[in-house]
Amino acid sequence: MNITITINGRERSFDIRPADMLADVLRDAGFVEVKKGCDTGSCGVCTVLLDGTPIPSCSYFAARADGHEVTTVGGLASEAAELAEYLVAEGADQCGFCAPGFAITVHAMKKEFPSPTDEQIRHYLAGNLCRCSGYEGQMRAIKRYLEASNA
Amino acid sequence: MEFSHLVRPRSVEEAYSYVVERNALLLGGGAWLRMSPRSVETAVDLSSLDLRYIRQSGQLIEIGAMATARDVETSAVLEHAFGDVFRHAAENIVGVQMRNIVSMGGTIAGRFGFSDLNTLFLALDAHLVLHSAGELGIESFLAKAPKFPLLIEKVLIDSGIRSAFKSVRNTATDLPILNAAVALTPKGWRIAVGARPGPARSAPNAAHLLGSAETPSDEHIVAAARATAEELSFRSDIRGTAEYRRSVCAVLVRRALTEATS
Repeated sequence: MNITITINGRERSFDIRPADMLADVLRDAGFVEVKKGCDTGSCGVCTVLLDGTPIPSCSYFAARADGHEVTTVGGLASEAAELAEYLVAEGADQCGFCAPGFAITVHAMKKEFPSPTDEQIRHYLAGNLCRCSGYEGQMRAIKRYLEASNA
Repeated sequence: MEFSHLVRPRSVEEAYSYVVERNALLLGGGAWLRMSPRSVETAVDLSSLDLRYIRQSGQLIEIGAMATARDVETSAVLEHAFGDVFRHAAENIVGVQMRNIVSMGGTIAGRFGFSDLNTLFLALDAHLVLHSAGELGIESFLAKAPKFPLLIEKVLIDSGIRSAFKSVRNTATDLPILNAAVALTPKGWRIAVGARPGPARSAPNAAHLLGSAETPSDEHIVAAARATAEELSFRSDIRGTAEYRRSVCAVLVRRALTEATS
């Protein structure tokens, strides 16, 4: 079946199998910044925005994205780069595999909670797993990033 | 999950006709379903139908089948009608990303044992509105799925019911080892326990010990909690043994009743 998705502001058409998942379609099209981890929607590395809402693209049927807007971390390049600077500064950047998903979710959180509490940050990002850092570095980095963004 | 055709009906009636005529599979959020090894010819995408809402209609709260777990978690309508119980029941379902796609219709239709929200719906004595088949209590539905073609349009709950929800999990976003919900409905107290690990079940005999008092005594609460653990059956799985679940059950029900009556 044919679908059309606006990805990072550019309309793209795909010929897919009806049961293809969005993460696979995106990666096959070259959007490899969308990572695949658990493939069950639990780890957050495949997070993309669908019409501005964070979803696990590994668990979302691509056909349902037909006619919608998808944003990968590539579509948030400058914002993600800014967050990445804080991740590096706070030692939360070891393998980096989780970083694109974190950046997307932080972007969505910022829209919903411009000045989140620590509890709100932990809760909002609970679906983004990191096997390296232990999260404390990310917490410091995200808080510093938000402080700078809101200044 | 595999399917050869995906159809996008423009009405609930049309969606239902695919179920009746082609034995098609309805897609809720698809989040849990996609992990199923099932293979079907036709899947029906309900996302373009007007089934995503949470609203009050008189004394009833209506939750559309395509309302998401995140919708339920953040709904001002539900918070006004039930306090923060829906937020508590939804907030630990995996991550915010999954909660943005998990649908209430899919959650109920799947009769998942691990469901937090089905346990709360059961305690609240929710009723399902089935297309072309009237209403069905969630208690009956969770006990035994109907044999006839099924399309859940919405969930109905009496508003203003006092309730509480508790769960225990290995980590914040893991599936529950056990969960429990209690509610003081117009018909009296109801106690529901889920992740046993099978689908949620109510404990009417234990709830009967609480009588109809809005604030049962501590003794009655402890007795009802212990009776719930005895009344229900539990099994062992990777997350916990039957014995552990039975022990935790009494604790969760006691805490939920204490919270609901305070």
